[in-house]
Amino acid sequence: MKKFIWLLIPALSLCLGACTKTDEPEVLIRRDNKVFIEDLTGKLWDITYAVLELGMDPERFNFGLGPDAILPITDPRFLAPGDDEYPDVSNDWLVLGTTIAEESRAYRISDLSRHEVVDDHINTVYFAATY
Amino acid sequence: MNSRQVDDEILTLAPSGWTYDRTFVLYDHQTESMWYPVQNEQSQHQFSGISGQYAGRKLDPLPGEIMPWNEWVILHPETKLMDN
Repeated sequence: MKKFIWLLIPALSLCLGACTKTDEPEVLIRRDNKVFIEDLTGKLWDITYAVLELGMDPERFNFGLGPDAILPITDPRFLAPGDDEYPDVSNDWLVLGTTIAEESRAYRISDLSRHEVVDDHINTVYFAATY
Repeated sequence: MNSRQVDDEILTLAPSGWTYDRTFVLYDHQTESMWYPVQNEQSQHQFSGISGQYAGRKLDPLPGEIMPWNEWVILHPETKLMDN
């Protein structure tokens, strides 16, 4: 039994090392001088330019959850001063604020954390609030 | 805060599901180019196309700052607040 345990420990640590390694993309494919990474949905992303021109390391692309894993907000709605639900000035939660074309808008960091991107526009200025 | 227009094309930016060095990699729905904040000549991070049709292009930065609501609203009393 003792001998069995001594065999088991290195085998377990090998497995743990392999299973918890997160610094490699799910699948890295090099084909015809191009570099692709495949995400968990099977979608291939051509990262040749990133690797060859920008020096990015394919092994530092992580997760690859697929483009539908986190959805951006593409139809932002806003409260204005005077609206019933407009929050009190005493709240101290963090916002990302911007002023474009003399209009100020704020986005709660907690909302941005859930969606990562808000696709918005003010008049003809199209912009993305990201966090 | 970044522009999402390149030439005459308005892009819908979205998370790609990938991170690079723990930062989200975005992509656009129109061309599926990937976008990532790359350090520019002024040592500032600017969203740059890292793959696809817009590889090598940059998105113009726009003013944006993070602060508590109670400070932002005092500085900008007419501000709107996203409520999605």
